[in-house]
Amino acid sequence: MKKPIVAVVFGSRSTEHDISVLTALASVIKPLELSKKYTVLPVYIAKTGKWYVGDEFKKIATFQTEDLEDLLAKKQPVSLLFDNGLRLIERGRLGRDVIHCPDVVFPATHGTHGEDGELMAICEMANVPYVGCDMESSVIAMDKILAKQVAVAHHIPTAKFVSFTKIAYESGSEEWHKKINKELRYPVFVKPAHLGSSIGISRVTHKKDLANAIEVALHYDTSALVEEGVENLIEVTLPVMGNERLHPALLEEPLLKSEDFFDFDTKYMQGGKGKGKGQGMSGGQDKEAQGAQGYSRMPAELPKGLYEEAESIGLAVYRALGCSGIARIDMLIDSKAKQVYFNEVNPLPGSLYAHNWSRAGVSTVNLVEKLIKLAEERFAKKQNLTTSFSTNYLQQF
Amino acid sequence: MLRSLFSMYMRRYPAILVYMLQNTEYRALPFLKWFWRTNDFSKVTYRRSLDYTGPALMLLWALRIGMGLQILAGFILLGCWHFRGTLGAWQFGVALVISYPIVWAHLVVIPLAFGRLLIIKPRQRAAIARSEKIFRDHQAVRLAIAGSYGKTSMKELLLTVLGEARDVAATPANKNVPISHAHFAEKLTGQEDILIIEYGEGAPGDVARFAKITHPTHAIITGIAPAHLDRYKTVQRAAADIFSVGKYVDPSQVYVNGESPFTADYLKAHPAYNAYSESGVLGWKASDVTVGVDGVRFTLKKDKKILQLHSKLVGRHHVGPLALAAALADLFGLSEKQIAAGIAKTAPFEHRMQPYETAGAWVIDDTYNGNIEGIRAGTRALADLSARRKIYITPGLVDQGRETRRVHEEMGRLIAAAKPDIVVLMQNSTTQHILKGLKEAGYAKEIRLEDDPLDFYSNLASFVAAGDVVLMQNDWTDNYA
Amino acid sequence: MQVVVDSLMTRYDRGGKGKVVVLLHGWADSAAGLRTLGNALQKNYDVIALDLPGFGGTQTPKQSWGLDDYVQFVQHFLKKIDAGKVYALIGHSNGGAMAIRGLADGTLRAEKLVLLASAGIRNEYKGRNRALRILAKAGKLVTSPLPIQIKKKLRRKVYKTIGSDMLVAEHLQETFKRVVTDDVRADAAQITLPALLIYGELDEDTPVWYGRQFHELMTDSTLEILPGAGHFVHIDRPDDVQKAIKEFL
Repeated sequence: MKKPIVAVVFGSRSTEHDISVLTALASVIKPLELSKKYTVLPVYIAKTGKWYVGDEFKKIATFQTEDLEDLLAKKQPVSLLFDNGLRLIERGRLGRDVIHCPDVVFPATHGTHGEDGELMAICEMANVPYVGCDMESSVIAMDKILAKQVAVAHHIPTAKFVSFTKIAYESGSEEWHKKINKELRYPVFVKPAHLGSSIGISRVTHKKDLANAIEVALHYDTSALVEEGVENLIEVTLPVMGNERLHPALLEEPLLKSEDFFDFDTKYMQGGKGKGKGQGMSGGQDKEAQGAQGYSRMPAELPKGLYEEAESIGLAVYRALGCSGIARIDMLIDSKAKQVYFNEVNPLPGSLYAHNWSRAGVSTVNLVEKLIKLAEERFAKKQNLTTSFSTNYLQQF
Repeated sequence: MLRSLFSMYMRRYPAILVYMLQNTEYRALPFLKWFWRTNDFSKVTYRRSLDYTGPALMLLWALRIGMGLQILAGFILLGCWHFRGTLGAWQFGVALVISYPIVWAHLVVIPLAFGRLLIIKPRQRAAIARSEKIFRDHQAVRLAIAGSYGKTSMKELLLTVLGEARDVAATPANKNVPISHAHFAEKLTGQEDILIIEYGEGAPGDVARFAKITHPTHAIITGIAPAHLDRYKTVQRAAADIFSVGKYVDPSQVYVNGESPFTADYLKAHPAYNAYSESGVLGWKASDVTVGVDGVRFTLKKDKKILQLHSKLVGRHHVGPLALAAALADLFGLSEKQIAAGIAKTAPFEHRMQPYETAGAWVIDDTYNGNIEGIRAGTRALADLSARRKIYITPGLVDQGRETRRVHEEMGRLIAAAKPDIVVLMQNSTTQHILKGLKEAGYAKEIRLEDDPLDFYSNLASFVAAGDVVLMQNDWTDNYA
Repeated sequence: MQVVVDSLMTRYDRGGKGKVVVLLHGWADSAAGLRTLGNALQKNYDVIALDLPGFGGTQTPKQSWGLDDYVQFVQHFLKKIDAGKVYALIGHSNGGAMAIRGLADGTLRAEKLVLLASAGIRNEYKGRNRALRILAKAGKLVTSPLPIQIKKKLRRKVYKTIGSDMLVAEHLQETFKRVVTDDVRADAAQITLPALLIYGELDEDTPVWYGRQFHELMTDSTLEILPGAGHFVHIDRPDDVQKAIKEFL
């Protein structure tokens, strides 16, 4: 029996390019190969945006040399066809092209041009099963404003916020400042709507600094949000897996020692009185620090009721946003008021949060196997839907 | 094939030969057997390498110089043929150059054999004669431990438990032949309360010989299994040799593992012998056994004495030996408190049912295990443990001779009885037999065959998760690769 | 922290309480290079350290910049973050040259100036530089038919062998050429405020005699030469540098 081909797509034009390489190599490709059930096709999207395939991209050493650029210059990028599933065409010598037809696509990109739904859109276009959140939920999850709006519509608690587009803000910034000062209590966090990491996020303690912070956020994005800071902050994150039946991993509390951060930065980014890092730092920063288990507590040490509430809010968010496959939900807890707030969703958590899953009883090899199974299930369900119509509208004229 | 042939001409080759000598304790016959069994010398030191001790270095240089001289001689002959046309010189020359690896693999044995015969042997004989007197005159209880397996564990167990309140001396790890007994005797102070002497049998007559030298007062027979069959030929002959220690001891002071096969007949023939087992020994009754990765717990009762015991040793099969250790401790006057404390200190040795945690899972490392009884004990422990998922990993057993087939089919059945969720087998000549045994016992869950053990072991953490219990039994030593 | 200055996303650190002290880093360095010093000063001062455009977390300017552009940028930055009255400017290497230029032409204002291995004396290497420039031009001509990848590689190799700073900030080649040819000795002569000059004895990039010249040119300066230290005096001898600065301020 021929083994199914799994295309692991990673890299891409993103600030999290390097983290994506680590996720793909260590947490996806290696366990897939260990399982011996699949043929792995590494698909590397260079920082230029060109797509490449080749077994050399399975090795970390390929990405650690200065010669990567030379290697890519010598290699032919692949071109894509979307008929009959996704086809990657590698220009061969003497006009003999090599055509790769993956049975499943495993996206392992982080941040822009990948995790944000763009890669999923390509898979939808090609009608090929793919792992993780679908296009729609990825788009929503990666837009902090949309995600919060969806949460609010589902009565899921989230920190109070004000959001605006760049155009709206520039046509009346004073009005917006007034609105913010009226509706929100300082300190506030100013964030660009997209971007998976801490880029462009500022903590503002005084209204005189608000304008500068908004300018920074809007330097990166076409819309931004200003959000009330949570007091007595405990940050937690919950990896979740599943399509209809959901399987939460352990609620994890990231712990960061102050010496791991630059003195200046910690002082300004920390939420409370030295209690972990500020909410603004979630996302990309986590991806770097996670895996080293000294940095987090699993499961988070919360009173039982609060733990359960955080878990159920995490699952509710996963459902509300329409996530499938896998996602990680970040939440903020006011430890005194015992209130859990939804913060944001990572549709493609760095390293798949394998360290957490293995504590939760899912081995790294099992994790990728399960994710592929979930992808196939979702795909099969979708094929059963009627997507073409027998009547030809144009013929009626 | 060609590659393996060339492996004899590698630069590392002399070091590989010395490594093989070192690992056969510089004994000529086992060394030569190994040498002829080996196809590819580059794989011999795949996982371990030569320990550069004094004798090893001496041999290494002797080999290098000898080989060099032979090659040189070969070239000189070739020169003679080329420049002077000496008749037949080129054939000899080429032969010398080509044959050096094989010639020196055998030549190296000669000094070893001579040295052994002329110097070492007579010295050893004298030392052994001296030790016989030391043992005979010593006032201590002299406990002999014999058996095909489990000797070292039993020795360490007694040392730990009896040592709680008595002055106990035991032969060091795996030093279990007369010359090492002699070295042991020389170091004794004469003040010890208890001596524990391990008997490492290897050929018929060994155990009786050991007993004549060490004069035991008590004897423990830890079990009988097919081992050293190259010399004993049959298990029955091995059993007869091991049980011969009984002739030198008061029969009421002989303790026999009643759970081992091949011991029942002896126990029946000698009613005065004491059997020890999971149910107890010497009137002590064991009950309430619970097995966890943190060890085994049980209760021992005799008359009005009740002992609640917890040992860190993993597996129900330890209850028998632990009960014997406790009973002997009681016999030798230890208090109940001292016994419980001693038992609590017993813990697994490295690679012998030794649990450790990885990726949230418990892995029980039993890779030093090398016989079917160990497999039986380990698989039973796996069956007893509660886990979300049980995984069993083995390459099979080595050195089973003509029994290979039978032993591995038995092994397959034992594994199936533990009901693991996944069985991982390192692919080799024994795999088919284990698979047959598994099939016979109706095992229907997942089986993985791995052809690169090193790769699999180093990635083990990727396969397991919290709630899993993994039992790894026996390691395929490079000795038999 | 971040702020947008002249359409460039600018990263900076600010911490501590007291009079305002601004740190300017050298070529191919960033605020991180002055962190130890900054942290030490935070106890008594309101310390501001920014990544200059093209370095650290600050965007690269779209056009090539000269020393004056950098000085202007620093002025705009301080205004944007509402820094207040600057008490002291501390500049390392090229940051020192910036401080001298800014204070001399009035773009920047401060009460005190600290120069750490300051650069700004530019034409002494004339002979070598000219030779190198001719070589570079010739090299460019010879290699022009080669594919761009190979050219890049060759150039990197050449720069590595001659130990050029161009290599550490390849994206700023033109800016580099403009900045390092700008001499500030004339500016130094106009500086009358109290200045502390610290140079490392073993510094090869900005040797001790740079310090001596600046010292002669300025009216109220103190020159300290730290034995055993190189170009990064504040890293080689952190305690001595911190002590000297604290006493001076």
